[in-house]
Amino acid sequence: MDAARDLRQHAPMRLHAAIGLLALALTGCASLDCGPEIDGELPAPSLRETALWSENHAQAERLVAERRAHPEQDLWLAVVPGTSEQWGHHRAPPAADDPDGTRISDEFRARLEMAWLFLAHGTVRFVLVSGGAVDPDRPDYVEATRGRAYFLGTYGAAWVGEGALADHLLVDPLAEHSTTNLRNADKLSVDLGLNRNLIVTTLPARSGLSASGLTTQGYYFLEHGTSTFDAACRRDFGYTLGDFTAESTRDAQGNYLEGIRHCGFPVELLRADDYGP
Amino acid sequence: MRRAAAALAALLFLASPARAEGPKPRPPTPVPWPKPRVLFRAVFEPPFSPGVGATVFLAPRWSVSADLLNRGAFGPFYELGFHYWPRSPRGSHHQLGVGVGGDLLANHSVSSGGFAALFLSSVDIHYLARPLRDLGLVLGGKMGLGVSFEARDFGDHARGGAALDHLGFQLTSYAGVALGSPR
Repeated sequence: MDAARDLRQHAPMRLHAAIGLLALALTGCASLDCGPEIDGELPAPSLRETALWSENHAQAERLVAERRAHPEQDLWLAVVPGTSEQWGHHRAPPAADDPDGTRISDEFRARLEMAWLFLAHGTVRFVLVSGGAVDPDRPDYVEATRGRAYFLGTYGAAWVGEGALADHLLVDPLAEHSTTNLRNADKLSVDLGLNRNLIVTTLPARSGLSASGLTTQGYYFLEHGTSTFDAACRRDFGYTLGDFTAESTRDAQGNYLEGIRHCGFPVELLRADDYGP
Repeated sequence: MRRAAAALAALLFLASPARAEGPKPRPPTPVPWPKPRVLFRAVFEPPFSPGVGATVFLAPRWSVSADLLNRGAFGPFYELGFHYWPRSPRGSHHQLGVGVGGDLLANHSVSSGGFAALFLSSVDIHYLARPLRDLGLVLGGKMGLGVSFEARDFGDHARGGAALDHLGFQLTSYAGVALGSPR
């Protein structure tokens, strides 16, 4: 509940809100509706037949059970898309920079650190690390498994929640593109009964006023209608993935927690789709 | 013969310059209309949704402006600007204006530590079409380049990054109405 209350801290003052609503009314922005609750057996029986089940079945069942015990929790799953752009588009680190096979990019590390802050703060209770073997020449370099190893190695000892940190960490080692990172995450969310998740990625700094922010993945998602994200989803899947809203708060140590609330999933279309690269 | 000579003389007289009248006076140049008092504008900044703004000419060559913009996911942005218009108004119904000055674009957000802002050096260009001295239309655009920062830049939680990450720009166009004029 504290986390939910803190997240509401970003609600502006009345005058600001009134002006914001006026701007929304003037511009016809999308609503923040997260859509109906997901019903049916959970985890979805179809999830058991997918490639993600063997990696995630214990965590998936734990999430469903915890959710029944804590219906007041707002957000459950933080989604962390991997990134390896530091070495070129869809390139693994050079062997010389990766002698022990554990290297992840600086940007990916920053995203994982942010996900840890959200998890430690209680904003979410589970983290999904997403990213497949993005470099065809290096099938051993899988972003999600490296991200998981980094996450557990760095934060495992600091975890004070129920069970082990690994019990709260899911992986998607299939997705190789930003579109499939989110499609798989949204489909997994639906299969776990979640109608929303929190995307933890690189966001535009300074409220998007810096030109460099236009190249971030956060901008790509947040401006999905005018960036090429929706178009890419239509091209690859035949549908779009819902709404995205910037969300931020601060923890007790004063750290800034920034993510993207993602909801409005096309539930039936995701159920009919497959997990994939 | 005498009649023909008289007709020829009349033609010659009519065709000759009227030396006695001097140069024909040119029509008086219309007095240029001053800048309007205020411009109410719809502001377009693709790919974002439109915003609204107003420009007030406090003096013949000085204006201030205030805009409410919607620049995507970070909520409403507020912009204050001032511009100097060095070119004297020429013409009445049709006028071109060029202003140079600065703008401050800012918004409120938690993620920026309270506020984020962009200081712009900008050029404002507009065309006024006024059927009446006190009523007309305005079409224009503004472009600026400047430095962005946020409250976090001055505290313990400043983001990393290069100096170029503080570079920002703005390119907007606008259309609206021009009202009033100083007497």
